[in-house]
Amino acid sequence: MKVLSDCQLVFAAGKAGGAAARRSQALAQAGARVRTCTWSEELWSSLAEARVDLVIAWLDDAEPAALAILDRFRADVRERGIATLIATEDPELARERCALWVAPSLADAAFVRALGDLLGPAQQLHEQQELARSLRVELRQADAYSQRLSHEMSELSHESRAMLNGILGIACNLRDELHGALTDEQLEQVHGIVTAVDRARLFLDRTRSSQQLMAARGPALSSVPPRVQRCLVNVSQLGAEVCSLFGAVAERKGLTLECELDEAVSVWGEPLKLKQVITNLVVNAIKYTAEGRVALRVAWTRPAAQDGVEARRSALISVTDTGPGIPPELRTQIWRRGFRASHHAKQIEGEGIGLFVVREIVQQHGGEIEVTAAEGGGSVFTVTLPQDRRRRARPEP
Amino acid sequence: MTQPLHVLLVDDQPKGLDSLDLRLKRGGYRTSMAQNGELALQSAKSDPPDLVVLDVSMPELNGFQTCRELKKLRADLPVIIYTGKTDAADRFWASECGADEFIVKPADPGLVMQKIAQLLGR
Repeated sequence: MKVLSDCQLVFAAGKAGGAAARRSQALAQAGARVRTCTWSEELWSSLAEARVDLVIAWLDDAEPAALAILDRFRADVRERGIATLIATEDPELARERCALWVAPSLADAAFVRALGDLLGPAQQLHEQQELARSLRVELRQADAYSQRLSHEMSELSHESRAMLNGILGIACNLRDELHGALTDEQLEQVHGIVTAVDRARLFLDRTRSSQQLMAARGPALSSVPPRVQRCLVNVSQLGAEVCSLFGAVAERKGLTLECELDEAVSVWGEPLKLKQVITNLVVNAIKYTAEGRVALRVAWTRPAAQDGVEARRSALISVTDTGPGIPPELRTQIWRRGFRASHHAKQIEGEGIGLFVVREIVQQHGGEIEVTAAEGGGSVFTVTLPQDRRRRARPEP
Repeated sequence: MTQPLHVLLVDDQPKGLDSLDLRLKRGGYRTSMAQNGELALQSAKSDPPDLVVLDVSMPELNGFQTCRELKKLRADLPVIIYTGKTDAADRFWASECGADEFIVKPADPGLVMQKIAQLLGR
């Protein structure tokens, strides 16, 4: 009876006297703290007053509305982690309500024993419910904190972007010699600033992607799995940004960066990663080309029909250079992480991961990449990306 | 001789737009600056611009509200939202208020110039 003596019970019955009163007294004598009340609002004020572990609903002589009253407050009772025991001759009534059951016809001593046997598991359930409730509170607090943090990070990102914009504006104006001609050394320093700002911007973009990923998970209580953030990416626009960023770099090296960008060539994908593909290919081409030109082309392409079925169109990104070219025997090796052609390893800086990353990203987007020899010398890197990997049957615009 | 096209730049931190301002002037545009939405509306009434470059986070009247009011003055006035805000919701509000372009900071002022020229048919 130790468990019973630990419990705070509310005993709801139709009448103050009779069998219900005797059972209530028997429970009190067994050590339980029992508060007896009638089927009325008094029951619910009893529940509201203090800690309650168990409500005993004595339906044997209850008024007809007793069950309806019990049902009306069942959700609140459960939410508070209070167990319910229904004393009725019909066990189905208790089972339907996921409540404990005891027959009211049991004699006083048997009734108390039965209740003691039931209360062990009920007490454990109560403790588990208490724990679950406190965890829910903590999770809600964690969610609120996470949301505040996310908001603050968003504000910080906004301010950082405004400051970076000021720096980038000045650096671009210097680079484009709006304030007068620069020496080669000065120009190099300015390019350093532009590149650093672009890296900081990419960092902020990545931070934002992480925030969006967290937001996509939903609150901590949610079981929604994280989703990869993909959207419709305007590849032509990415090409224009890369051309704008590296046009002056190529020019300073005595190269021409030609950009032939068809309008609004768009694919479903991750914008940051796709921009990295174009950037890596263009930067590589500039690095390895001593004279001549680097040409970036973005256009639609349609692979050849297979078995009479016309293929869906894809985005094509090609970067052509007038560099030394890649010998045929190396064309399968250049995609390996850390690969550097031996004749370049000492002359040109690099870690040999650019093309490895490019191919990884292209494959993640369901695309293909190949390298061929350009007419008159040099290389052509050609990337094809399917327009939309989500819905194959989607009509083309 | 034709009048230079007038671009109104609106930002509560106007120093951040100095480089764009310089480019516009060098590109043959006339520019004016306003430091908040209210001043932008007053300026648009007294000296109507051909295009407006508008920040979003400004006290009192934010960029989206200002854009909506500017479009009431002249529905086909080209407006570029130029902001450090990057949420999808901001893009939605930009489109909802009738903005013609949404450019995220930091951006190469050369690219912003290209957008301005496109919107003004130059």
